[in-house]
Amino acid sequence: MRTFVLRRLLQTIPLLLGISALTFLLLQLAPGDFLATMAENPQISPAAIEAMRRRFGLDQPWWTQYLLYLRNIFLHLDFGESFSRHQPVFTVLRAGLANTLLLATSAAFVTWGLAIPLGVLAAVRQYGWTDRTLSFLAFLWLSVPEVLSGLLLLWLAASTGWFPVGGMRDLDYDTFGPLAKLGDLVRHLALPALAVGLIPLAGRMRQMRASLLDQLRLDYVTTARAKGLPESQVVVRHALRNALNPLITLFGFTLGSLVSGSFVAETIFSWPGLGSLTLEALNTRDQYLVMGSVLLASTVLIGGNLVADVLLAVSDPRIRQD
Amino acid sequence: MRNGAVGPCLVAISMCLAGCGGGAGGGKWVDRQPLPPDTMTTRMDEVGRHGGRFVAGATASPKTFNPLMANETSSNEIIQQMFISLTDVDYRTQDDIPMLARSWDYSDGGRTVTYHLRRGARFSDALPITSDDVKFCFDVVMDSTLHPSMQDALFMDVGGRHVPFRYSAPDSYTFVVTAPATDALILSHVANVRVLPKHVLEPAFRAGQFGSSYTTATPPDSLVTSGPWRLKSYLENQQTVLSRNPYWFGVDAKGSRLPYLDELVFRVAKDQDAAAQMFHAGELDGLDNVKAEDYKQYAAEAQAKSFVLYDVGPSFNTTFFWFNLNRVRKPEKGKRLGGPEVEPYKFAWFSSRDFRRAVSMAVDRDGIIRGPYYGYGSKAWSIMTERNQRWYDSTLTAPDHDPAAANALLDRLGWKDRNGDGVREDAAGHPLAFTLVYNGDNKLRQAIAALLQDDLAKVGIKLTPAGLDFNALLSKTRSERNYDACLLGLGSAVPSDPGMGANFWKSRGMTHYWDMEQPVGRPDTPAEARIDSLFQACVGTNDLAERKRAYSAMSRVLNDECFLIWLPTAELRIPVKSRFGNVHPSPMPHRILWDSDRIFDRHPGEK
Amino acid sequence: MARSIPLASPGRPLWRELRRSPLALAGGGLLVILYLLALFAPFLAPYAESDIDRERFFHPPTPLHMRDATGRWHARPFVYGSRGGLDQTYQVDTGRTFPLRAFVRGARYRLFGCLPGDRHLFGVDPPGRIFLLGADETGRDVWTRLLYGSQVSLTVGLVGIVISFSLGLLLGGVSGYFGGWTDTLIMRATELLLSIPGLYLIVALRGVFPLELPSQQTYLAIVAILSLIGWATLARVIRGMVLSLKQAEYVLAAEAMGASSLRVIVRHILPNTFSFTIVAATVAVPGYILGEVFLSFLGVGVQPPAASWGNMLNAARSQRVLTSFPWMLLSPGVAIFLTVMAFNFLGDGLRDALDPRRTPGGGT
Repeated sequence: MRTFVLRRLLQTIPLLLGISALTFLLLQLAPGDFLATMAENPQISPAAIEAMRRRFGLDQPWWTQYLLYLRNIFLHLDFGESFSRHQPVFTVLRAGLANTLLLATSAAFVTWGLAIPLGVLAAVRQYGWTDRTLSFLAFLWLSVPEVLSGLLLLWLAASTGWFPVGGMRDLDYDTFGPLAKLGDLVRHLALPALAVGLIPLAGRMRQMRASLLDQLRLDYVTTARAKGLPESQVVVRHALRNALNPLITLFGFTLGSLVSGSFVAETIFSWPGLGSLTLEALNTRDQYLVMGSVLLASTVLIGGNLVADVLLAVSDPRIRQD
Repeated sequence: MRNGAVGPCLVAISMCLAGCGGGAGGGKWVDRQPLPPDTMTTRMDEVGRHGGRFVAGATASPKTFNPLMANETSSNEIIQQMFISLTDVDYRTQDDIPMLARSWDYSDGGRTVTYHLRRGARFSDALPITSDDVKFCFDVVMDSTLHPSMQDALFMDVGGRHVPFRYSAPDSYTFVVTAPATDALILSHVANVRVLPKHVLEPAFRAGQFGSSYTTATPPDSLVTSGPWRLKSYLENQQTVLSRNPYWFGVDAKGSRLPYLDELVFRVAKDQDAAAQMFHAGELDGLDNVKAEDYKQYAAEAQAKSFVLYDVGPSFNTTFFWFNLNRVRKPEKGKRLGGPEVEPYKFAWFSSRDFRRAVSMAVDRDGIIRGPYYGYGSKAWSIMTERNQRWYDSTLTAPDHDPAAANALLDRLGWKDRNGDGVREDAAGHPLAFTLVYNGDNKLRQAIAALLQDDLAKVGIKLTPAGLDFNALLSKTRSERNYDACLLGLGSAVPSDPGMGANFWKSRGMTHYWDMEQPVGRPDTPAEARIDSLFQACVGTNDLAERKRAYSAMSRVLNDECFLIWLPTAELRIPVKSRFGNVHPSPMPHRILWDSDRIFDRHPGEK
Repeated sequence: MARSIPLASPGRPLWRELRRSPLALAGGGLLVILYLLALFAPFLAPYAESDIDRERFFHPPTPLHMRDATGRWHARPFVYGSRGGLDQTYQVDTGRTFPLRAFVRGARYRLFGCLPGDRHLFGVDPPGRIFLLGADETGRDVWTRLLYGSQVSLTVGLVGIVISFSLGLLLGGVSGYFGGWTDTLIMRATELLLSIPGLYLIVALRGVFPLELPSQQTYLAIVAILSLIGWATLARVIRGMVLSLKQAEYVLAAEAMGASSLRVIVRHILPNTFSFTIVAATVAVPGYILGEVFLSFLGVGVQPPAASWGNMLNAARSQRVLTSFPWMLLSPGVAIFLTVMAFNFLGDGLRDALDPRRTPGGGT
């Protein structure tokens, strides 16, 4: 097990290297650079732009810039500075990452918190009305484009006033007591987490349903029923526990994909996360910030996959080899 | 695992608790510091009361709090609240008014300005502001390694040489600046340099670390400011909170220290739509960017929802499009140095003054006002628009909607539609077709481009709109220069003075869009030469009447040539909650908070 | 109870299995209708794609009536005229009626890109306008743009999966069959692509393609981008399947008979992945449709005045539109929703039909 994890961790390094190279290449291919927007301001002279170009190292050929970038990472663990903020890249991304992780985790709770009970219900009433209705409803949400669902939820917030219309915290947050702070956070999280979390619900619910159905076909269930145990105990105490096993690995995948999937929700709900930071950085071609952001998001994705694979290996010893 | 039930419970609990949370404004503020000898009595309509908080929307978080290193609006709008310069501009009259300097004298034919600093002005850490601090800031700005962007405003080209302004601080309360030649905007250029504390930042400057000082990561307590506000807290991508600077030297008519408000909050709302939502929900106190299509709705709701919809009049932002007359300035493959950037046959059309005039006559500006502007717009024929009292010239005009005349003009050029497809052809048979690029994410420009397509089709010209990503657009218009026509706009500078647009007006300028970076002293056409000399006349004297004549004359040349095809300007309406007094929204940024030190809450402490 | 796993081409048995799922059939039927609508869009639309009407910005839908304000029944349905429009509010003008006409002469078009024509299924005489789903912010008929937009949005998915699945099948097949360096190289490439979160990759790739291409080419660029991301997952799965399939007897036989590797891969191995592939393809199409919506959300998709469901949705993205002009937002929204639903139901049904564990013939 240890070697497995170690080997995967080591493989991550060339992977991230490749990702950084690909991202850098794409940034170079994209037209314009950080100074293009600056140059649009009639009050900034060409001389000032040139000085900035020199200071940011943008006057060097791209491969020199990339090699310098790598050298700084390996020698000083320095991932570059944001051009607009004059701060190290990860200092800028820190807060955004935390916020996005918070949103992704809450969305994951929404997904799984609903997928498991609904999946169980659907399995137990297989092919019945409940099953079909649940499938239908889940597919419904999956099919609505995120832009529209976000807008509808925002409209709900605006017209009922139950939820704030965006942002992460109230203006007076700092004066709240700890319980009030938690409550405020939950209120602000509710709609974005719903918007993001309900999308993968259909798939997860189906997987829970399928997994439980697989368990219910097995001999030990028949035995338990024969022994006279009530159906609810059979399902919940015995079958469900086993049915959940294969799904645990999916949790890792879910988290990874939710981290990246929040661009739309973050914009519509003004959630201060990694996605909006990245979009802004990309629009201004703040290249080291973009690189840092992509590397960060990729690391979370890879990490999630690793966790999923480890859990899989733990639960199924036959799959220990890579 | 059953979080399904916990969620709604938490929501219910949280709603109760949030209701009992804290509110804005604690007790009433008491001025604990002695007033300085030279206070500044700030001009205001109404004497207000202390207390309260104003929450404004911002489209992005500031990137830095260092006035000499900031280059973007999101940072500058907050920096302007925290740091002051020697002089300031009154947005209502566009006059230069005293700020750190209580008075100033001209000498040397207007080339030298001697500023007399007010005594007793103090930074937010109680230490005095003297001319040493001003000189330090100038030293930083003129530093060749750091090269802040405002440095170049303090240079002038005299006799072919690039000469810097000279400056000195003969005593603690006097600062002298000498320009190489008479410059009408010397006060504005000097005002670009905002005053920072030498005692805090000099060590960093000497160590070469100035660029990373006063960033968003700097702890608020160590960020010493010179203006009415200081930094209280900052949350990346969420909000910036400013609180009162207890040592500010501005007072009201009764001698009470300003600012009135306890706090100023800039809350991030990236979307125009999100900001509107927040305003309606009461989370923002004003909106400085409302869509024209919503004006009627806002006007109807104003009474019921306790806000005032201020009519600010036509914006200072202009919209126009132009044809690419750029020539190849650097050796490029496949193109002749000095030849046109666009294909020669298109260049032949674009360089024809009659063609440009015909296009200007094809545009139905009333249609644009009725359409994308929803009726809230007016025709603009120059950079300085109607409410710009100092500069606006109502006699300026350009060829307006007259399709018959446009058709006649194009017929006279010999470009008729010979094959009956609705599009004219030139002598060589090329159909009169070109592409108009614009930034695709701007829906207003999208709609305008669609109308332009329709308008030009009526005179037999095929215009194809092409929306680009903004960076791609900039790259095209500035470096690659391989486009046909471009639709863009110019924002207002502060002050809104033609002299601020040197790069735009001068033929060798970098933002002289239609034909950039022409050789110095050898512009491409006689009209360009005339504009150059008129611009020089506009900035080379302090006589306002003479400057205005020069500005009007160069605008007339521009319009006559139709180098820019003018489009209507939008009318601005700005909603602000009615509980706030001394609110005078302006077309110049920051539209609501330019006079934040005077704004007051009529009912502080009430929800 | 042993049953042979249906790996070979489905044909009739698949159709029978599919019939057991009414939702899948409904989905499939809906898709057939939608694609037919897209195919005949220029004919079915009363107006041209960018027909601006300056007098009718944000005009609401014009209902069809049979009986007019005076109580008289008309021989054919008609729409009323309208007045107003100064601040996007309109009043019905019951004094003027415009009867519905069939096979009207209107804007010229080329059906399927080659057959010229100018007849439209229905229309009204000017100055009347028939807006089945209302008009947008420049007075263009939403129904017309929906139809033209469907041509973009519905084909993005098909073209996309053709490209990405071809790539995925080929590269996965080659990778699994040959092993060694080829395998390592291809699998490392897929790992790289799969480790970057999809949306980040889309955003970065989109920045690379210049936007001023004519809308056709922009559209292809968009499809290319979405496909470049899509092939990796399929390649990995196909590789796994090929690894096990390459030991099968018929494969060894073909190799013994001297068939070239490519022929073995394409003619013998890959067809056995068919049942998985077809389900994956059906389920992947919505991803492309939603990807196009995402690109429009960023402002870098197909640009107006060309219509696509994504850019129609993006243009209507505001609370005010939702409350005052809902038809602008709901038309593309519902269209996308129905299409994605249909593909999901069809994919679900196909998956069930091809499920080896399902008992044939019906019954739970």
